[in-house]
Amino acid sequence: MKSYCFLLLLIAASIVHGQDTVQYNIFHSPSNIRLFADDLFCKHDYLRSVDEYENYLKMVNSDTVKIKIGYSYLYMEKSKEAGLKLKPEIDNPVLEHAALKGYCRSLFMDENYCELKNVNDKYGLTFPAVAKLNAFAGLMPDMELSKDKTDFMKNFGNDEYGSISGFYEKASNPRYASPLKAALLSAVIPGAGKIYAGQTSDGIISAAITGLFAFLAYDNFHASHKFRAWLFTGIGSFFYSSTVYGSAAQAVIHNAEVDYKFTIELKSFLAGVNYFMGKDPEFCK
Amino acid sequence: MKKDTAILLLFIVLLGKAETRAQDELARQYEYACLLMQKGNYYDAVTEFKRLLFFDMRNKYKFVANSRLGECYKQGAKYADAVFYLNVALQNSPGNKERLIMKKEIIKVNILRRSFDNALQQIYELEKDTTSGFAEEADYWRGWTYIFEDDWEKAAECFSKKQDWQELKKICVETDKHKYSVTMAKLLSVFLPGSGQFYTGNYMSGIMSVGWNFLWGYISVNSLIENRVFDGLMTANFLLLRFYLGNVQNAEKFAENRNLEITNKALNYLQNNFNGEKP
Repeated sequence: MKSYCFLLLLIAASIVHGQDTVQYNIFHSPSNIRLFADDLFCKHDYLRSVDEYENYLKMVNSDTVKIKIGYSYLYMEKSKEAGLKLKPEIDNPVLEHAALKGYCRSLFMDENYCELKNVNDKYGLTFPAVAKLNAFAGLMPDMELSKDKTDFMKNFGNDEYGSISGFYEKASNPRYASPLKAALLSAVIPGAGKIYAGQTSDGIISAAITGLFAFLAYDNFHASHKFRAWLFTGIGSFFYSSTVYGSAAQAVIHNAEVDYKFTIELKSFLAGVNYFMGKDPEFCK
Repeated sequence: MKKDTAILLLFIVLLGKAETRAQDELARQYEYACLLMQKGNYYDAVTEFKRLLFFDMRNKYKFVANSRLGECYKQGAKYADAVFYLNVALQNSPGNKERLIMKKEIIKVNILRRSFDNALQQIYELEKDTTSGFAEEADYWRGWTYIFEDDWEKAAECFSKKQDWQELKKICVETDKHKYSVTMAKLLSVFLPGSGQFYTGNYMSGIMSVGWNFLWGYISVNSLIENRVFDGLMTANFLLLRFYLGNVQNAEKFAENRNLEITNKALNYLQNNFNGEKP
C-alpha cells in the first residue's frame, strides 16, 4: 500500500515538474519575457528591452516595468519618449522614486526647464536632487539666473561649493561680444571688430589686406590707370564689407561658443556627480 | 523489489520526457529565429536568437545562435556587432570546419567595414595555418580586400592566380582601365590651366578656368610691362594665384569624383550580377 502511495506521489510530482519545465521553456510567457527583457536592459540593448517590456505590459500590468521602459528611453537619450513614460508614474515610490528622478532627468535633457521648475515646486523640498537639478537649469544659457548668490547656493553642500560657485560666476557674467559693436569697430578700423571678438590674427590680416587694396586703388587713380584703379577699388570694397560683416558674424559665433563650452562643462560636471540613477540600476547587479 | 524497479523506471522516463520537451522548445525557438532571418526580418531574428541564448542553459546553441546573430548584424550593416558575435561563435566552434567558416566570415565583415589591415592580417594568418586548407582561396579574399580598398590593379593581380577567378580579374582590369589618373589631371592643370578639367570631361569648368587665369595673367603681365611691379605682384598673388591653385584643386576633385562614379558602378555590378562568393 505504501509503495502504491509513493508511486502515485511520484507520478503527480513528475507531472507537476514536467509542467513547470514546459512553462519555463515557453520563452514567451510573461515571467520569461520579463526575465529576458531585464537581461537585455542590463546588457544595454535598450531598444529590444523596450519591445519586450511592452509585450509584457500587454499581459501583465506593472508600474516597475513602465518605469524601466522610461529608463530604457532615457539611456537611449530619447528624452521625450522617456518623459511620456515616466510622467504618469512620478508619484510612484517603487525603485526609490525612480520615476520622479528619471522624469526630472528627461526634462533636463529635453531642456524643458519650465516644467522642471514646476516639478521642483512640488517635490523640491522632499527630494534635494530635484532642487539641485532645477538650480542647475537656472545656470543654462537663456535662463533667468537668481541674482542672489546665497539663495542659489543654499541647494548645495559645502563639498560642492567651490565648483558650483565657479559655474554661478561664469553664468552670471558670461564673456559675450556684441555683434553691433564688432561691426562698428570694423567699419571704423577694418579688422578691429574681429580682434574684439577674439580673432586677433584674422583681424590683423583683414586690416592689412583692406589697407593694401585701398592703397593700390588710390595709387592707380593717382597714376591715371583707371582700369586697375577700379579693379582694386572693387576688390578692396569686397574685403572691407566682408570684414564688417565677418566681425558681426564672428561675435555671434563667439557667443555661441561661450554658451556651448559652458553647457558642455556643466553637463560633464553633472554626469560626474551623478545626482540620479547611474547606468547600472540595482536589479542589474 | 519489482515495484521499486518499476518506480525507478517510471521516474527516469518522466524526467527524460520533461528534458526532451525542454529541448523541443529550444529547437522550436531556433527554427522560429531562423525563419525570421530567412524572411529578412533581421531585427526580430536578432531578438529571438538572443532569447534562445538566454534560455539555453546548457549552451547547446551557443555556436550556432551566435554565428546567426553575427550574420543578422552583418545583413543590417552593424559590422562591429557582427564581428563581436562571430568572435563568440568562433570561440565556441565545435570543430575545425566551423572554425574556418567563422574566421572567413570575420574576414568578410572586416572587408565590408573597410578594416583592410585587419582583413589582410587575418587572411595571412589563416593562409599560414596549413591545417585550415584556406591557402587556395587566400588570394581570392585578398583580391576582394583590394577591390574595397579601391586598388583594382592589385585586385586583378590576385584574381589572375586561378582560372576560376577570371571573371573577377576581367572586371578589375576593365575598372582600372576606365579610371582617371588624379596625378595626370593635376599635372595637366599645372601646365595648362583648364586642361585637367577637359581631361575629366568637365568642359564648361575647363573653359571658365582658362578664361579667369588668362584674364588675371594678362593684367599681371600688363602691369609689369608698364613698370607697375607692385600692382603686378599683388594681382598675381591675390587673383592669378588664387584662380591658378583653384584650377589645380578643381581638376583633382573632378578626377576623384569620376573615379568614385566608376568604382561605384563596378561595385554595383559585382553586388547584383556576380554569382560567386563575395563579402
